[in-house]
Amino acid sequence: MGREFLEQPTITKVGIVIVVLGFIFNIGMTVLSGRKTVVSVVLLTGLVGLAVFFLFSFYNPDNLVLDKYFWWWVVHLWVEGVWELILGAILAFVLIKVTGVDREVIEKWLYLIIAMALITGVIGTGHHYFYIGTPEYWMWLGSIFGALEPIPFFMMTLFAFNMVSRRRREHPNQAAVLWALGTAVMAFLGAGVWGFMHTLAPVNYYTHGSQITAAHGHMAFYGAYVMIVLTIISYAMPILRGQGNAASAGAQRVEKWAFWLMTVSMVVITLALTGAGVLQIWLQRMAEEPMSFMATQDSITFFYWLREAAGLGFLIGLVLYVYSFFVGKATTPARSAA
Amino acid sequence: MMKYTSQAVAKPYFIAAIGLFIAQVVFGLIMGLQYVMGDFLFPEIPFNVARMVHTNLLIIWLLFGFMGASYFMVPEESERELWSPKLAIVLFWIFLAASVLTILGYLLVPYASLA
Repeated sequence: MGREFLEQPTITKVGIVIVVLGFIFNIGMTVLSGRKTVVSVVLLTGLVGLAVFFLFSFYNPDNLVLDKYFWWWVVHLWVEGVWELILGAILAFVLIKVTGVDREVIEKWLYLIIAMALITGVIGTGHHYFYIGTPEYWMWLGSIFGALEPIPFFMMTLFAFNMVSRRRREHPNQAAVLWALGTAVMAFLGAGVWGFMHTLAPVNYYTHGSQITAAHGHMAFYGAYVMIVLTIISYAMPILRGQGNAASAGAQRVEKWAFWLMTVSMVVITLALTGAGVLQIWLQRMAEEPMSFMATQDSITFFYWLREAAGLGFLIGLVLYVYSFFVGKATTPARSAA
Repeated sequence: MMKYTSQAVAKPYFIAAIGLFIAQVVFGLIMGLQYVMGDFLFPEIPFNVARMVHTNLLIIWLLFGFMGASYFMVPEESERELWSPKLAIVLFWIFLAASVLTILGYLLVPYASLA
């Protein structure tokens, strides 16, 4: 209770565990009794990891340092650990489908990416252990492994663009291709670049818990996880709705507009929060005569207004995205590919 | 065309994901406004509640998205129908009900008295 992201009442947490266990059982039985592919095994591994690390949300030590220490075992080991396996598996699946590149090639990339994600990400947990009462060796471990954490994301960008440029077919669902490429770029920027910005201990000494964190959080969650979910929805929905392999050209045009509106808005949100963060750190923590927290907040409202305006742009993009599902649905089904 | 009919269970998961995504963004905008207009929607939706709703909705809808993705991908990868489409649908409704009730709990019940 009361810890960021894990505020759910205990009964909800128990419910989540039951739902996730049932889900993993269902998926696991299917994977284990069918053809085993790298994609499905990596996906299943990620999902099992998701379930296992969520269990630490039940552990609530009285000591505040220990509390935060294990809180990150859920939060960090999710988004900078096992969720990257889920992300990689979904990206690989969609790239196999839309590019027609040999599964073997894509699987090798996936292995390398998840290996780098785990090698850097697990000990990279240490970049959350600066100045919170944990042993000092975390400064070195967190800085070094944290600095390496952009590598798997950079590999994802190389992976996606390489596969698309080596494509063996023009898939009719170009919106899904756009989402897949967008995921790779924005995940690298949000998780990789904006994460790197404050992962070194001497930098984090100043940026810890500032708006820089909020900037990074927004672009990383959007780029890595929002966009990968929208990628698979973009790929799967036309098939699930009996529209053939792709939505109509008109619907895809609207969807691509939604992509750009949401993505550009998120870039502006991130830049605005970064501006707010830099000023906040300067005024509150570095100036000759540091200002109080609230006085600082009052001095950076320009950036907060900019963020709010961009947020409105994001909402418009999202509404457009929803609207894209209703464009051209009146035409006959099975208008599939060419 | 779907290669396996049980892939269809992914659809409600995706729809729920998008619905909760919209709610997440709306609460983000409310909070963004509270940054510059401190008493906006106070005391109805205090900042700490909006923040909790914004971040929890994010996690929940991404989980819906991951689950939908898995239900869509795994039959095709495994070259067989899903082990139990019925279980997938039952869990969908349980998860959705629990999610909505929890969010309503945040909004309607003082957090300190919420279990």
